[in-house]
Amino acid sequence: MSKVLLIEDDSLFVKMYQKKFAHEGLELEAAYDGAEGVERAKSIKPNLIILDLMLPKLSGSEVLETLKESPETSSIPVVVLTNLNTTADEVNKCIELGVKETFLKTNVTPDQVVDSVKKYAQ
Amino acid sequence: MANKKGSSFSKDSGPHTQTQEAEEVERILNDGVTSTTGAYQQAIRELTQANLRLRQLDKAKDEFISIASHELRNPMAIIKGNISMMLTGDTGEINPEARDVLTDMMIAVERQIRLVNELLDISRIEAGVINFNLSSSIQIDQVAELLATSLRTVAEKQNVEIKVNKPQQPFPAVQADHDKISQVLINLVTNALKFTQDGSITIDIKQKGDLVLTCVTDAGSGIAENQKSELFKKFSKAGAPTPGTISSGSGLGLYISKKYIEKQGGDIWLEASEPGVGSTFCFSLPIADSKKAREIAEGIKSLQPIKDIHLKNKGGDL
Repeated sequence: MSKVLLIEDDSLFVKMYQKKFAHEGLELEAAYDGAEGVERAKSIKPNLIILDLMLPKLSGSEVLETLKESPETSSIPVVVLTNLNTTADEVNKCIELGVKETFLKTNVTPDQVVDSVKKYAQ
Repeated sequence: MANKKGSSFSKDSGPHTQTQEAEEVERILNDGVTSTTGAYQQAIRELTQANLRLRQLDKAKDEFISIASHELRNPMAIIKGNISMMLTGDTGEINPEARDVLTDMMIAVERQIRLVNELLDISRIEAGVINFNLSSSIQIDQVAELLATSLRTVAEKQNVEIKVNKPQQPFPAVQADHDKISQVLINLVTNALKFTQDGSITIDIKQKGDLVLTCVTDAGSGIAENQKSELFKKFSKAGAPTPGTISSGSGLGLYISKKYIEKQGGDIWLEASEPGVGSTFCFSLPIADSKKAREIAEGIKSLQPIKDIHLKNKGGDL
């Protein structure tokens, strides 16, 4: 069973995805800021990470950079779920760092996110 | 009446000779010039300060809209996501009445999302930081076909048919930003849908010299004469949508469309409209590699920071 780490600071958003993933039979762990996200990625070694970009402590792109530096986390596939438009520098930085997919939060339904997770989880 | 004692030029003012009077006039004039110059400089200083203040306020307004809009997206995404989960049955069975309520909520939150997107577009247009990705030339007929397909389900509910007319021969590509042209076309077709029930919407595409013209014709209620000049202004609405058609808009779509098309070297206008018969909106775009297209590409390249030109769409995005 795929284990997914969601790095997201809005607890209602996390709660929604916990319900959705439970319904789909997927395991979801949550981290509520960038630094916690990096720590959790190292300890639980998820099959995929869903990453918000506007996060406390470390921004999304900083989280990605940190994950890329360490061999134990560098190959975990990452999907970005953000409120920033694709023209934002922060989004472009993440695309450069090789994220699998970038979604605008308001444009997707939980179903579409689940599809993406199934497609990219390792 | 003026007080006689107060006037230097009064005939009754006593022992003034002509010389004295002339000196008096000169003194007054000199004082006047000096004080006018002083007042003029003061006015310039005040205007410069006011101008600076206005520019700061304008920037603060743009930043506010941008931050507020991004922050608004999180709660909207949560509402939309949860409604979507209920509608797909993830949270258990729902009865038809609840489904109807949830569907209305979904339509409302989608409308709100669109409004926030449009406000963000406008704040970027007005701050002059909008980026155009002109690197690839696009087939506008393909964009239209794709759009017609995606809107067909909505259109069928209103008994409306969406047709795309284009010449048979291979069609020249235009130079444009794909996402922004899709947005303009979606805007024109959804506007047409708002005012059309039982009829057809036609997208005509043809070449005219160095330009490709795209026209959207509806069989809607038409636009009243006194509203025609207001159409492309911010928050302008041509009237209430026909009941039973798709949800109403913000009145920002045509304003944004106009800005987008003009920045890419084209034009957008109301071609014809007759009450009770329908309306035709057209826009033009320069054909790829035409003189106009090259001028626009050069102009846009010199305006935007280098980093914005190639960093788009490496991973899939929306």
